[in-house]
Amino acid sequence: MLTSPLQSYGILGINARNLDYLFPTNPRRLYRSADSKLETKKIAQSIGVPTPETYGVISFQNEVKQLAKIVRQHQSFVVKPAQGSGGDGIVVIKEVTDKGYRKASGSILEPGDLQYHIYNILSGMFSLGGQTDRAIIEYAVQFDPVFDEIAYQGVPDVRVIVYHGVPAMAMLRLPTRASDGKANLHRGGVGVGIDLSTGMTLAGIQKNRYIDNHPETSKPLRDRQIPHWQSIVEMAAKLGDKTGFGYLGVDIVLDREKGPLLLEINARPGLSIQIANREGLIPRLEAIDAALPKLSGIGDKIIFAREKFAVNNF
Amino acid sequence: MNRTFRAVLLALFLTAIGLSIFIHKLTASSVPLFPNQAYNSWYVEAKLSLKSDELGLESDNEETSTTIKFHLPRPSQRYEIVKENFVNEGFDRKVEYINNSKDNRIAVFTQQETDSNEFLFYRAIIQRKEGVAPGSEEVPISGRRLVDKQLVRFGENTERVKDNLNENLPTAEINALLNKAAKNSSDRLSLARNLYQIALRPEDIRIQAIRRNLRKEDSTVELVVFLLNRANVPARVGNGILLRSQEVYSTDFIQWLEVQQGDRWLAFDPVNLSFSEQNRYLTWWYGSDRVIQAEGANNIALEVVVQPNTDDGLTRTIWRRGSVPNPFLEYSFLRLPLSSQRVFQILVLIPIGALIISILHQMIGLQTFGTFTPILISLAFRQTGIFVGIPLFVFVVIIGLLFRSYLNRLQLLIVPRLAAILTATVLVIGALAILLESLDISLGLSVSLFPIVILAMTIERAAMRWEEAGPADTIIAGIGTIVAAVIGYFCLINPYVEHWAFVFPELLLLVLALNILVGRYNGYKLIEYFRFRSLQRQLRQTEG
Repeated sequence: MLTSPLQSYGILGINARNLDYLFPTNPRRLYRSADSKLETKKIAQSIGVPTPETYGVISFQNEVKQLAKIVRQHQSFVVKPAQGSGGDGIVVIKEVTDKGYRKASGSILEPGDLQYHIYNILSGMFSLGGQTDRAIIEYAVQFDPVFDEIAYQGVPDVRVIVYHGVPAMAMLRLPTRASDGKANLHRGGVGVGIDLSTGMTLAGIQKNRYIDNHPETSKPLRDRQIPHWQSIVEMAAKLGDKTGFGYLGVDIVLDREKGPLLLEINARPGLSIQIANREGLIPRLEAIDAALPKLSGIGDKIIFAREKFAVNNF
Repeated sequence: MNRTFRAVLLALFLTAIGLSIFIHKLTASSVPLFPNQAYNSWYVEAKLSLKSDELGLESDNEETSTTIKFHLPRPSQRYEIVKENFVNEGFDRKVEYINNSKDNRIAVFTQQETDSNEFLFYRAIIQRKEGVAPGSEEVPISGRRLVDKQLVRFGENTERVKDNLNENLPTAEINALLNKAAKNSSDRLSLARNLYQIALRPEDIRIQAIRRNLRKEDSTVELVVFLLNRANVPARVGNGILLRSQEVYSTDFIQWLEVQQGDRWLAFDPVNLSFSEQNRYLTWWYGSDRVIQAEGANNIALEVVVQPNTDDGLTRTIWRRGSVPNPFLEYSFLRLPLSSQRVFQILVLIPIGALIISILHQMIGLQTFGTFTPILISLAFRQTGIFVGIPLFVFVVIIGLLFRSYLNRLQLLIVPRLAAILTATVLVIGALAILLESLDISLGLSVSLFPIVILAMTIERAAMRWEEAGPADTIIAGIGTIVAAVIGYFCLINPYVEHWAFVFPELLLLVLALNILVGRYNGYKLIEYFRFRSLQRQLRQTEG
């Protein structure tokens, strides 16, 4: 067989991810629970994983007018498609003013514009495959001040790859101007590798290129401690263990007061996390496969991951 | 691993089946392996479609049952008719010879049952005689092509033409023309040549008068024959079709002029103005009457389809005996009517295009609008040609996206917005076609509905992409689509690919096998080498 340099470093490609990890370990019937954020919330609640509070769900076009009623009690909120992907269609409203809804970027959205956006969500513009969708209106996360220096608008989140319930790799995702406030690497967000054992940040990447400082705030990305690291790892492990997905991406946000909250789970997590961590996934996944028979329970799995996948700083 | 092993096994199994049928066909029946070998025979199929319209012109003769007279091709200097057969369910058929088989051959179909089949088929195998060199296909058509004029015109008043012939003949004009032509002629051939050249002048008032009077507006050849006959020169109109080496194609009748010289009939070639024995066309009939004459039916459409014999007589055997010893050949596309074969020739190319797409997608990582849209675009390019196709594609996509951006401001819902974009695109393409036509630039837009519909539908994909992924991605996917479509195009127009897919459809099992293997390819995509380049550099540094 032909060995490429990528293979010798154990870098996971998209075909191998699908054929060797997703297809064998993620049953098709479960995908709905990952693709629909409402389903995900239901599952998370049943296993005791906290999620942002849902204010309301809009399912039909004639309910759109009820938006004002749903958000009356709240100053800030988020509108998102239940089946959206990659952060598309998410609108964060920081403040309800007389003129309209003020977005995270500061621009004002008139009530008609926001309603049109919800119509688009319902007609399936942001959903996978374009089928009709529902709009979720939920609590807007007040992100932890630890990220003030390295986040540009939007909500930063932590992505953990969980393999058979064992956390395998983690990354901090930071929104930038280029990513339009979305913590999506594909859109130009910044990814920062995380040492799984300590929760300390490593190098950053943007558009597959290494960077040391955040492109907008110019603050260093390295050596920052992610708060609540142990609970983040626990949440991820629990979801990986209980959902039935063998290979899962778990996205967690850090709220100032409520601590880590589950944002969504992804049954087809991307591969850029390897670049941010400067390591291929295959050796870690194979180590988990080898150790799995000896690991009993979530506690064991977390201890294994935090010991085994520690990064030796040079 | 286990699954990959099973996939490889299945692929090997399919390959083995495909290859053994293929080799069996090659050795047992001498099917030609390569296309474009010198053709010396053709399949000709004439399909008559009857539509009896009760309120038609002939409805006053209710008593006559339908009778259709159809001219049949005749053996000539160059071609012989090896085998012919008819499909005439519900009709009585007899073949009549006019003038002791020296002249035309006519099949007479008489309707037996009122609710009989609406189609009549005539099929023949035409073979070029031994020792006759293959004719050039590129020579411009001698005589005039009668595209739809040959379709029967029952309303034509033949009585009036006869009256005009007997009584109102424009004798003065005819004599003037004959005298003018005779002045520079030494023999009957040069007379015919001069007359032909005079008859081609549309502005000549005498020509106009004769044409109008004798209802020979459409055909120069018929006019010249008439004039020559007036001068007591034996001349006749030949009607036939041109046999070419293209794959299955639809054809029209062509007319030419023949003049008798001694005991031979010589055909006139208006390109190099010479006379020779007619050896370019398959002769169908002589005379200026139509190919079909019918009573009791008022609407008959005729399609003549020709296929060069690429299969070395297989279709012939199938047609002749109804069955061949080899079941793989008996149950092949060659058994279908030629008009259906035309459809399958394109259909069998689709799996090959799909394989190309799956390789580009899984192994290269090319992004395109929709998964299989590029193959449809390749098929569209097959009809428009690539130099028209690509600008047309780019133009259509840009127009669509411009409309999209405007409609976006009106805040329309997504499905009506896509419908509006499609409508606007169709209107713009229509306007473009009309504009270019009026400027006398033909872009091949008239070729068919199919490419235009495909290009218009691509808009949907492009617009969706724009919504979902933004402009940069749309441009990348647009370029990817063109690249995939062009690669597909060059595969699909390849005569070898066409020939193998159609004559050896079992090779599609190999395509299927390859697809299964690609489906279990877990290696890196080409683009991933670029994506992980910086990671690779980092890791190499750490090592070193």
